[in-house]
Amino acid sequence: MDQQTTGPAQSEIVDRARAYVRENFLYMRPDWTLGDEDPLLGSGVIDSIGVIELVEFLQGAFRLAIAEEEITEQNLGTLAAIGRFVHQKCHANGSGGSVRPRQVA
Amino acid sequence: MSEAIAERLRLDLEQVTGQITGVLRRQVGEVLQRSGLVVAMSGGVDSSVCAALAAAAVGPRRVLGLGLPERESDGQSLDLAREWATQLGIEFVVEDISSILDACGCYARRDAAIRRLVPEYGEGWRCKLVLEGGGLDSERLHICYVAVQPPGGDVRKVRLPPREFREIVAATNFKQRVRTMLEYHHADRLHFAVMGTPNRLEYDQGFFVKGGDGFADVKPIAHLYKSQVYRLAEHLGVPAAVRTRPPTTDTYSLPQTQEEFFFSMPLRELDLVLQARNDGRTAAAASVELGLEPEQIERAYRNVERKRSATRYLHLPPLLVDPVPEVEYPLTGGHD
Repeated sequence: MDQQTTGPAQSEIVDRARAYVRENFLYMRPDWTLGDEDPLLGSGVIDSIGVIELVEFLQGAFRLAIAEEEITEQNLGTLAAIGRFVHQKCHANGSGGSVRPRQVA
Repeated sequence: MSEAIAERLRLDLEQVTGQITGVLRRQVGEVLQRSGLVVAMSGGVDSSVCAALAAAAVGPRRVLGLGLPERESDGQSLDLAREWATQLGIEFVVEDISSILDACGCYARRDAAIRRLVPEYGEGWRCKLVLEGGGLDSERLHICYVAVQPPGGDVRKVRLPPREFREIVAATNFKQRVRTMLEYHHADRLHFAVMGTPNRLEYDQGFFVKGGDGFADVKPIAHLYKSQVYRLAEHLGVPAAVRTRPPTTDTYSLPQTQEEFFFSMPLRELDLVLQARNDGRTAAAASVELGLEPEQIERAYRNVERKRSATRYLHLPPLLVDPVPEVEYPLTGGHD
């Protein structure tokens, strides 16, 4: 089957990332508007430890390995950036892309 | 560094010393209505300058220097602090806080978190936290590692998951909080106030523990950049052995600079970048003055703002639902 059809759509990645950020970083601020291009870093939404939590979430949710040099603002600075980055990784390595959560032993 | 930047960081050292000691006298005597000052002395340049300013402001007999080592402290720190206290003519009391830290579970809680990542970590091993990324030449965001070293072995690093990072930091924060507790014990005993010793980089970027070294009655050098503190140190006669020592955190058992734990760039460069940022200079303008690329300055500016945002909580006083104006006091009180 074509990878393009098995991996998650970019919009789905963005939606899941938004839900994760809302649940974990904005749960006391339900009125916070979180647009796709709004900065997540340096705006009080996610701090440097939050970035690592976000990376762990993305690795688990989309079955990815995110290398340290990929942990950049360009890849993780906004929901849209996350969508592009994860989508590209899912469809580049041929193994990622499942939207099933990673099994935990 | 250009002359323009050097000029902006230059101080009239006599004038600054006079200003700080004058303000301190008013703060201690009139605002706080205390009889002297307690200064925890780490053997570093900031606390050495603060101790000298305290002695100049209220007189050496009204200053208590505290040495607060624990079993993982660098022994040189205490020696340098004691020698400087002796030169200043101030009383110096040493309290080893290891047993208090043991009772709090400081070491045990930290080591338990490390052992989840490095099961063989145990007796005789040393550790520290290391922050990587976020420098001038990399787009990488900060990632924290724990570095461990077995007795006689090599140092190795393990990337820290959030849970372990927070547990290690929460455990080691006991060190700063216990020190503050003892500072206030002596301050209560002597009817003194407690002097905090952050410089501007630490204060601005939130490099302190809330309820620990962030808690004090006066902070006389919080407005001075690190390079300015060094110049003031020389002016005040702080020994070269203190002034030439790399700033350390003295918090972990492996030697650790402030740069590798928190600031992620050389303090001298950060000093200049922060000064340029605070002066409102664009990255392009600052890059010419500092001899760096505009992209490097942009990265440094972003890091400055991220740290400010992430540590804003540390600066906030307890938040009330409604103001209680009857007991409020201007926080910058003491100025003319």
